[in-house]
Amino acid sequence: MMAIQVQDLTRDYDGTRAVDHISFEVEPGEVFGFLGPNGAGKTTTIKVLTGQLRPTSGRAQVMGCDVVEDRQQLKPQIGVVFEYQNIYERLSARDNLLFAARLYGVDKRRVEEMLERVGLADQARKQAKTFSNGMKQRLLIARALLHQPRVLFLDEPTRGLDPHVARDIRAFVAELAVQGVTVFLTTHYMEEADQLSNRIALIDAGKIVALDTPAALKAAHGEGATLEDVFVQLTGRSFRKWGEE
Amino acid sequence: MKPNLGTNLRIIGAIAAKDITSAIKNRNVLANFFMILFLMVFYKVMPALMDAGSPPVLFVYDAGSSALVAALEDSDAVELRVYPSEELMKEKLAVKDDKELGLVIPADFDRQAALGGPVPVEAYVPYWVSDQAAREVAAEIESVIASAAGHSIDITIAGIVYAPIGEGGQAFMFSILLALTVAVMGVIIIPHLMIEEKQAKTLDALLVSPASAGQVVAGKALTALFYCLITAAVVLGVNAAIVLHWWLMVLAVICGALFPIALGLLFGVLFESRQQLTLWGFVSLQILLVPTFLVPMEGLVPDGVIAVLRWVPTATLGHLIRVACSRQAPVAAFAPELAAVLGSAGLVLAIVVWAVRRSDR
Repeated sequence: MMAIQVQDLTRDYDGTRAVDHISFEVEPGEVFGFLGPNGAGKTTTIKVLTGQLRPTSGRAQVMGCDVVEDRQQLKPQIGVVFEYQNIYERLSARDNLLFAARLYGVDKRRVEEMLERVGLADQARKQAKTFSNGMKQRLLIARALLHQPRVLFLDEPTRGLDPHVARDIRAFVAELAVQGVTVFLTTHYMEEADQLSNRIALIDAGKIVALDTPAALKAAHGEGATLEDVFVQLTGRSFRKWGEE
Repeated sequence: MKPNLGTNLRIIGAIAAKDITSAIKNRNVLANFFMILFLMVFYKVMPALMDAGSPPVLFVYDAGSSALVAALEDSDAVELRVYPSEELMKEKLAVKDDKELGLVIPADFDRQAALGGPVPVEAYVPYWVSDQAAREVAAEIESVIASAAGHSIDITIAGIVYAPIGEGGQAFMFSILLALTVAVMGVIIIPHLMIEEKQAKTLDALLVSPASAGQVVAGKALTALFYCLITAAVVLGVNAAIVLHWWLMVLAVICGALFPIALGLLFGVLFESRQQLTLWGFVSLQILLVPTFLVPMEGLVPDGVIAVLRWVPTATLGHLIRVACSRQAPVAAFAPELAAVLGSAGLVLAIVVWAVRRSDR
C-alpha cells in the first residue's frame, strides 16, 4: 500500500483552479518534497490530503484512507505542521501537548517524552506566547508527532527560523524518515529539499511539472545544475512575464 | 466508523477543559464575570440607598374604617395603601419587590384600642422575606404607628403571600436580570471561543485532529454552559430566597442558556473580527432582551404582540424563571416553554455544526 496516492486531483477556489489534475504516489517511509512558487498549489494540496478541503474532482488516499470518505479514520494516521504557528498561546507548552494527547487518546507519558525530544522539557511550564519562533516550531512538531502518525505533513517547517533551529528541524525530519515515517514536505529552501527528499515534485500553476529524485532532476538540467536552477527553469518567470499575468 | 460514546466524551471533555483553563487567563471572560458581580452588588444595594429616608410603605385592609387608618392617612410617617378587600391587599403585596407588610386591621380595632393596651393585628409578608426580616419590619411599623397615630399595636405575622404563577414581585426583576446575564454571556463572550480559534488558526489543527466539527461545537457549548452556570450561580446565590422550585430553576437556566450559547457560537463561526461581533452582539442583545421586559407587561402591551414575543427564547427563559419562583409549578406552566427553548437551541446548534463543517471546505 502506498502512503499517499493522488489521482487526477483538482481543486477550484471561487472559479480559480488552484490544483489542476495532479497525480502522484508516495511510498511509505519516503520524504517527498513538494516544491513550487507562491500560489502554485502546495498548501491547497496539503489541505486536500489532510481532509481540510474537499477536492473538486479526482481522488486522494492517505494510508489507504480516502480523504473525503474516510476522513475520521485518516486523522489518527497523519500529523500536520502548518505553515503558520497555530498553538494555544495562553497555555503552557505542556498544556498544549496534554490537550493534543487527550484529543488523540495518547498516554500522558508521551507528552514528557516529546517535550524531551524537541528540547522543551525545561520550558514546559512557560506560556507558549513567551516562546521564540524556533521554540514554537519545535512545539508544533512535537504536537504533530505526539500520536505517532504514519504520515507527517510539513508545510514550510523552517520558514523564518534561524539557521541553528532550521538545522535541528532538518535533522529531526531525517531521523523520522529513518524511523519509517512518511514525510510530505513543502519548502522554499532548495538546499533543504535537496538534502532531505527522496523524491521531489515541482508544482507550478496547479500542475506538476516535474517529479523525480533530486539527483535525476539536476542531471536532466545539465552538468552542475543545482535544484534551484531546476526550479527556476521549470517554474521561473521574468519580471516582465509576472507583470503580464 | 463512528466514534463510540467514550471517545466522544473524551474529545468533548478535552476541548471544554482546554477552554476553561484558557478562560482563567482570558481578560474578556474575567472582566465579564466581575461586571456581573458588580451588577449584583449594585442591584442589591441600590434600592436600599434610594429608599433611605423615605417613609415605609404599608399595605392595609381596614374592615372597620378604623381611626388608626384615618390617622395614618394624615401622617407623613408612613406611605399608606388601603385596599377594599383582604384578597386584593394580598394580591398587590405579593407582586411588590420590596420588604413590605400587609396589615389586616380588625373590624373592631377602635373598640379594642379603647380598652387600652396593644391591639393585636395580623400581618402578611411576601414569601421571600425571611422571618427575621419580617420581625424587623413589623417592629419598625409598630414603632412608626405608635409615634404617628398614638396607637399601640402588636403585629403578628399571620402568613406569607405568593405572586400568581409566572408573575411579578421580586421574581420579575430577578427573571430579567438572570436572562440578561445569560444573554450577555451567550452573545458577547461566547463568540470569542470560536473567533480566537479562527484568528489563531488553531481551529485548523483541531479539525485535522480526531475531533469532528460536531465534537468541537459540543466542547465549546459545554465550556459556554460552564461560563453561563458560574455567572448564573452568582445571580442565583444572591437571590436564593426568591426561588421556590430549584429543580425547575436549574433546568430553566441550563436549557435557557443553550439558545444564547448557540447564537454566540454561530456568531463566532460567521464573524471574523471583534468589531463585527461587537456590532451584531449589541443588536442581537436588544432583540433578545426587549421581549423579556415586554412579555410580563400584560395590559400595557397588546396581546397579539405578547403572543409572539413570549416565544423569543430569552422571554421564554424569563417566564420559566418566574414559574420557578411561583408557589406552584404545574407542568402545563413550563413544559411548552421548556420544549421551545430546547428546540430553538438545538436548531441553532445544528446550524453551527453545519457552518463549522462547511468552513474552508
